[in-house]
This record gives sequence, C-alpha cells and structure tokens, in this order.
Amino acid sequence: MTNWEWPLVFFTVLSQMAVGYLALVVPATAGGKGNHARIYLLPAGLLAAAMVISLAHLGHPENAYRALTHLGSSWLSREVLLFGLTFLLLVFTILVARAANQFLVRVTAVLALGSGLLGILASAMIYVLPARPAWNNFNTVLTFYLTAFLLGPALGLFMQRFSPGPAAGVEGSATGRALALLLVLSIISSLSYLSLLAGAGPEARLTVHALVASPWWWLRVVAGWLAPLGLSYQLYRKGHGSLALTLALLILLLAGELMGRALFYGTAVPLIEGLL
Amino acid sequence: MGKQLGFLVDTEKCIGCFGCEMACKNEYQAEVKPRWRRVYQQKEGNLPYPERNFMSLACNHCADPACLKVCPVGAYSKREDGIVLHDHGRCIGCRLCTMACPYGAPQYNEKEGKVEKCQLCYQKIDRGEEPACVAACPVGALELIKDLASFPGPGTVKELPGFPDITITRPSVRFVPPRTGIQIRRDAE
Repeated sequence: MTNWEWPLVFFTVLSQMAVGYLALVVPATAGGKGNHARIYLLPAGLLAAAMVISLAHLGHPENAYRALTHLGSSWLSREVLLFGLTFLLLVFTILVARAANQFLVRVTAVLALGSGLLGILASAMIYVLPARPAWNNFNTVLTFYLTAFLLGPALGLFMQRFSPGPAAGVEGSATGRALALLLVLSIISSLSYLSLLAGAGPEARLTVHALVASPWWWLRVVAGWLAPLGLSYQLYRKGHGSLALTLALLILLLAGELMGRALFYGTAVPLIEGLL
Repeated sequence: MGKQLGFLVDTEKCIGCFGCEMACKNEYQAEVKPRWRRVYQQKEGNLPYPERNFMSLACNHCADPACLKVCPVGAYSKREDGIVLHDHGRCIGCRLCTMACPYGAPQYNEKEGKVEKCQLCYQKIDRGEEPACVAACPVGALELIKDLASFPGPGTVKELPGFPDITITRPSVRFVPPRTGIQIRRDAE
C-alpha cells in the first residue's frame, strides 16, 4: 500500500457523485418543477471541486490545459474534455434557468448528464491497462459507475430532507430499495472480482493478498457495504427517512467509496513486480 | 516506419556490475532516483534450475508503446529509427505513463515534478556513437541492435522468466538466455 493517490481518489469519487446526482435530478425535474438554478449548483460545485482537487495530482498543474491535446488515443484527455464540458453545460443550465427558459434548461441538463456519464466511462478506461492486471478488466468500469449510482441517490435523498423541494422526485422507499439492490450488486461484483484475480497471474494474486490483509478493506466491507445496506433496507421499509438517517447513509457510503477507491489505487500490483 | 533500433542483453556475459546503470547516470543525472537503466537480478524461483544471473533493462522503445498512447499531452513520439522520445518540456507530471508501461521505464522525478526515461542516447546515435550504457559495459553484455527486423534470431529469445508480457507493447529487446545448470552461488533467503 504505497500509492494511495488521494487527489485521484477524491477527484474520481466526487466527480462520480456529481454525475450520479445529475442522473437522479435530471429525470426528476423533467416536468419543469423546482428551482433549477439551485438544483444544478450542487453538481456543478461538486464537479468543480473534484477538478480542482485533481490538479494536486500533477507535477505541473499550471500546464494542466495541455491535457486536452491528445484526444486521439488518450482516455485521460477525453476525461478532461468530457468533465470540462459537463461543468460548462451545468453553468449554462444555471444561467438559462435564471432566465426562466425551461426548454433550454432541459436540453442542457440532459446534455450535461450525457457528457458526465461518458466522462465516467473515460475515467474508468484510463485504468484499463494490461500493465496493471488488477485494473485490466470490466470491474474497473462497473465500480466507477456503481460509485456514481450509489452516491448520487444518497446525496439526493439527503438534500431532499435537508432542504425539501429541489429534487421533488426523490422518493424514500424507491431510493432505499434501489440503493439496497445496488449495494448487493456491489458486494457480489467485488466477490467475483476477488475470485477472478485469485485465478489470474501472480501480480493479480498479490493484489488479492494485499486487499484481504488490509484493515481498510474490512472497514470498507462493514462501513461501506453492510451498514449502508441495513440503513437502505430500513429506508425502504419506512418509506421515508429522517435527516439523521439520510445523513448517516450518505456519510457511510461516501466513506466506503473513498476507502474502496484508495484501495483500488494502492493495491494494483504492476507487471514489473515479476522482476523485482 | 523504417528500421527499429533495440537492445541485446546477453545474460550469459552479464556479471551484474551495474556499470551500465552508472554510465547512464553519469551521462544524464546526478540524483539517486530515477534510474533510467536498471540491473535486475533474476529471481531464482523464476528458473527451473539454480542460477544467478542478471537482466539489464531500460526503456525498450517498443513497437507499440503504451506510454505514447496514454499520454494526455502528447509528450511521447516515435522516431523513424524506432526510438521512443519523451519531451520533458511538455510533460505535466500526470504519471499515467508510469502506470501504463509494463516495464517501469518512465519514472517520476519528484524534484522536477515530471516523468523521464531512457532516450536511447539519441544524440549519440545521431553522431554515429554507441549509447552510454553499451559503451560502458566491460564484458560486452549489452549491444545495440541496429535493425531488429534483420537481426539474426538464433541463440536469442524475446523474453525471459519474470519479464512482463511482450504482446502488450512488443518491446525492442532481445536476450541471450542463461545456459542451464551453471551455479555460482545461491541467493540468501
């Protein structure tokens, strides 16, 4: 566990949460209800924060604009373009919402969502590298989208309780059920991933050993999967959750995804390990 | 694409003196890290017989370089003679190439906040000279292959145990493998 890559951990998780939140509020506000400028401020702010944090990963952040110059083959260039576009579209959505142009709001919000979803794909494809067997599989893409679709609704649910109105379509029981199902999918896919790695080459097996030997992995299992699963089920049964419950769910899921992402970066054993 | 330059590493001749590493360092950097050329001792468990030998590796100037593909700023280019060049001035230090290269060739220089790697002494090559590492090897274990396409294959192999999968980037390196059963001494466990 040497390279935790914290700037990348926060960048990927926060940008995915922003897109997941968009995926929740764009359909929910399609009917034209709510204060759109206020709704889209949150994902725009989250995405902006994520992009600023990502600069900390660079040796020369002042030249970050150059990352747009190799779109032909670099997934990192494509990621920067797509998330940059998502942010600009969100800013535009806020501006046209203030001008009360509902049609343009819907169009730009849908475009922002599409660009954000493609941005997550680009983020994941950056790491699908044969030189890192732990990343070079479908699980990388699935994990990145699962982060978005777990954190987005959890954030939407909390915002609905915290400040009722903006995302009127977020309904407690349905969101609780969806979160519980996604958590089950996340647990099953992670177990499949571990068994896939255990049956692969020596570097992949080293990743499995590093994961199961890490206390952070077990903390992630308990705090990021099992506890939120219990809370989601409670939410599903009750039909609506208190502010404290939705906040606890959001914090646990966020902590779990951050730990999971740190482990993703920290336990990927490179092929060169065979020579060391 | 014209010819492809490459390295020939003779593991039978190599005595693990690290002279190639030192010559590279003397030529280009004063810092301890990074090490553009590295001498690896073969893991004994990688071979079916007891043996102690070494593998001197730098950038393999691959036919299909992963670093060039993933770099978001286009800092990598491939010359007509196959040398993969890294433009230090253009690099923003995102380190993605260090993750994508199966051979660990691009390395991050913490002090400069940029990645760097072996450029196969292209200035020397252009002057008709040998790369520093090749010129420095006291036993002739490291050679420059002038054109990989016309390089005679007998007696050489494309990979050795422990060497990362060559199908990923098609590295421009060939090895003379160790002969079976010559034991110098065992590694300490």
